[in-house]
Parts: sequence; C-alpha cells; structure tokens
Amino acid sequence: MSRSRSYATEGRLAGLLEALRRLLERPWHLLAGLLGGTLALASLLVATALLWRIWPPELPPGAQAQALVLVAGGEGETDLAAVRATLAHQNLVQGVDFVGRDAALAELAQRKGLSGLGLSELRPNPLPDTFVVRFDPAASAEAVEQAVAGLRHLRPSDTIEYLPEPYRRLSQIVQVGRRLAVALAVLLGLAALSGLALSLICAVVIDREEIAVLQLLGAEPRTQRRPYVYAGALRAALSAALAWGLLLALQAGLDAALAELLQQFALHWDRTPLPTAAGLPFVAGLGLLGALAASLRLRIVQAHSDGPRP
Amino acid sequence: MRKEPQLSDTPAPATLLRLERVEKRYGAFRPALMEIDLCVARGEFVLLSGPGGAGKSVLLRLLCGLELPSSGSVRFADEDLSALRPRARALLRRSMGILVPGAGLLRARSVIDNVALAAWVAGTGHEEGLRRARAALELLGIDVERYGDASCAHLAGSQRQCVTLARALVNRPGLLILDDPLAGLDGPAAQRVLQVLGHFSDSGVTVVASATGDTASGDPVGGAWPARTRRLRLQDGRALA
Repeated sequence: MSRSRSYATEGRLAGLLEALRRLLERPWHLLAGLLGGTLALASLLVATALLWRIWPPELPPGAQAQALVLVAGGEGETDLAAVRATLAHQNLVQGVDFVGRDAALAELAQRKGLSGLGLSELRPNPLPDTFVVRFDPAASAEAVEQAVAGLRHLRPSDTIEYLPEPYRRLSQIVQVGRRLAVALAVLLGLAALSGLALSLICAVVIDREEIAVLQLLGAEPRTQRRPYVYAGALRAALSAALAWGLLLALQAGLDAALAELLQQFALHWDRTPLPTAAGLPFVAGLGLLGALAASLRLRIVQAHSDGPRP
Repeated sequence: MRKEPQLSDTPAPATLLRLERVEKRYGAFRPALMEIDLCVARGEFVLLSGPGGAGKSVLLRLLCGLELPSSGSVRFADEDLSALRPRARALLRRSMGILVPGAGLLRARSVIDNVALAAWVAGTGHEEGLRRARAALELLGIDVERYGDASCAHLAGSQRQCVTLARALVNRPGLLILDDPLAGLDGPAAQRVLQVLGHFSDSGVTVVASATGDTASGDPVGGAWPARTRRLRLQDGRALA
C-alpha cells in the first residue's frame, strides 16, 4: 500500500489544507509560536486597555495643591458666598470648600485629648472662617504659586496659608513618575511589538529545500507561497483570538478588584467593559498581518533561491 | 478553397535553444561564462564537457531559466527568457526535465512522492502522477515495490541520482537538461541511464547534458554517449572550438 502524500499545487482549498498540514506537522513549534504570539499580543492589549481605562490621568485630592483662605470676623461682617464665588473664579482654581468657624470649633472640641478643655463653651469663637481652595492638579508648582499670589492681591486683609515646598516636591515626583511611566510604556510597547513582529515572521517554517525543488520543477511562485501565507494567517489569527480571550478573562477576573483598589486612591477608572465585538476586526487584522509577513518572507526566500546553485 | 491557418500548422522552429554572446557574472569575480554562442536544434543531443568550474552547470541553469544572463540572450523556441516574467519561466520549466545533482530531492518525502511531485506540479492528477512515477522509476531500474515508499534520506548516492533522473523524465519532456547525469553511478546503472537517454533522444527529445572528467567519454562506466552526440567543451567559462 502506497503511503504517498500529494502536493497541493492548485486551488485555495488545497492550499488551505496544505497550510493546516504544515501547521500540525510540528505541534511543538506551533504551540511555542502560539504562546509567544499570544503573550506579545496580550501584553499590547493589556497595556492599551489599561491606558484607555485610566486616561486622562488624575491626581488624588490629597496630592492637589491647596491654599487656606482664613477670613477673620463673624458671619454677617463678610459676604462669605461672594468670597467663595470670587475665589472659585480665579485662575487655576478647581474647587473651593468652606469650613465654618463654628463647625471647626465643634470638631476641635470633639477630638480626643481636647474634650476636657471646654472648647465648646468658648465665647466668642476665636477661629476664623476658612476656605479651602483646591488648584488644578495638572498645574505646575510655579503656576500655583503665582495663582496664590493673585489671591493675596485679591483679598489683602485675609490670611492666606500656602506651603509651597510640599507641592513643589510632590510636583517633581509626579513629573519624574510620569516620564518614567511614559519611558517604561514605550519600552514595553516596543518590546511587545518586536515580539509580535518576530512571532509573525517566524510564524511558518519555510522549507527552503522544497522551495528550491518546486522552482526547479516549474511551480508558480504564487502557488509556492499560498500554503505558507495561509499558515501565517491562521497562526496569527489564532494568536490574536487567544490574546483577546486572555484579555476578556483578565477583565472578568481582575476588573472589580482593580477598580476598588484604584478608587481607594481616587484615581480615574473607566468601568465601561471592552467591546467584545472589537475582537473580530482585531483577529481579522492580525490574520491579514500574518499573511503579509509570511508572503513577504517567502518572496525574499524565493528571490534568493532560484533552485539549487551550481 | 483556402485553408485557414491553425496552430498545429505553424512550423516549429528548428532551433530550440539559441544562446548569443552570453555572459554570466557573479559579483566582481571572474565571469562564470563569457561570449557563449550556441544553437541546439530539436532532437539534438548536446554534451557539454570540461573540468569542474568550467561553467557547465551555470550554462545549464541559464538554459532552463533558473538564472538569467548578465548580458547576451538565451532563447527557448524563439522566446527570450529574460523578457519572460518569473511565472512564465516557471511554466516553461514544466516542459523540461531538469536534473541537478547533489540537490533536488526532498528528504522527508518518499521516493515515489519525489518523482510524482514533478507530475503533480505540472497539473497531473494524484493517481496518474503516481503511475507515471512508477513507470519512470522502473525505466531506470529502481525496484518500486522495495524503494517506492522509502524516504529519500535513506538512499545511497547512486540511487538518489537515479530517482532525480526519474523525476526529470516523469513528464516525458521535450527537452532534457541534465547536469552530470552519470555522476556517482556505478557501471550497470550508468549504462542503463545512457540507454534510456539514447531512447529518449531517438524519439525526438532534445537533450543537453554535461559531464565532468571521466564521465565525459562514458567508457569508464561501461557505456557510451549516443553516437550522434554533439560535444562542446567548456574551459574557464569559454567554449572551446
């Protein structure tokens, strides 16, 4: 009984079957390639998804620059609502919170260690009314200092407390952190892209001996390429599908925990789930990319392999 | 009544292969071929002889369109091979039987598959390809029952040479381009190959073969090239008168 195996020379279906045979011929190579491609793609996807969810980056309120505007005198002597409105309209001011003198005194009186001092019976209340002015977290330390100077000019009779040093330091740390994060993201992105490119290029094992023989026998260049192109497309599409699945699994497993963690630090986190339908064009696009990479590689091999050399 | 001209009425040119002032260079080295002029008529048997490095293999590769000349022209049935697209040159090679020694067999595939591959590439059906492959192997004295399913990696050198030659013959081509077909063959095998080539030549097939050193005469292997063989000697890339 002959164990001969035909060679797919014509037709797309024959090319597809030949591609499947080539892929399954070396299962370990296929598995290793799929693993590499999936991890590279998943890294890119996870990084993109994280950026998408966390963008635009925001600092927690505790990290915002704040100035205290202390207004002396009791209610009625100053129109606090007007003061608040004026402050709120100043440059770089993101929000204004009011802490009334009575509320502040009551809070002090309730504190442990101060409760026995009889602060609640203190008359008249010596504390000032206070406005907590929060500045734009994206503003630089210098800009915030200029804005604070503007407040002093606006209400010369009031005491304005602002400690520039902590915000300067925090601002520097945040800037360094941002630059590091961008550099790290670029490096990771490049590494993932390199891994992806390598995975696509090495997606199919090109049998140079076979290519040389087929050229010698007069097989059309397109026919020689077809099984390799189909194999490249199949493998890339499979890697893309696995990577998408991995991303969805990560989303399902970690999203709630991550969202809780990030909310504790008051960071922005978009809870909109990833559009599952976007997986289809992603898989198709990667399949096309895999086919293009295989075709390009085959053309290079064909150009350098016009049959066995003398 | 005037007869309409038909394709079959078109007279085939008597000259099948024509090389004019062909030169082939590889980089800055000395040209592998220089000033080669050659005409091969249909049905002719041409033997290229000369020492190793004389340019025989390069000339054969130019004849079958695997490479193009650096200058000059190679014409196959009046078609300039340099003017043809790679696809057209590939299709043209299907009408040729090409043997390149030392390479060309797929080690992972069986003997019968290797021979039938040429038929399958040319568009022959699976079973018909196998049938032709068996016939070609038997013609060259290969025991198909014993070796047909064997992997080519396990064949001896002379057997590999015979299998490669069988693959060149499987499509019953009109032109055989054979690079040192007797290389590595023992006496009886070489004699059989020469007989087969003689039969093909007698039936009108054009043969251009090459031979190096002692295989050029044919005598040391127990046979002789056909009597009407036209010999062309090459040396240092030039054809000697």
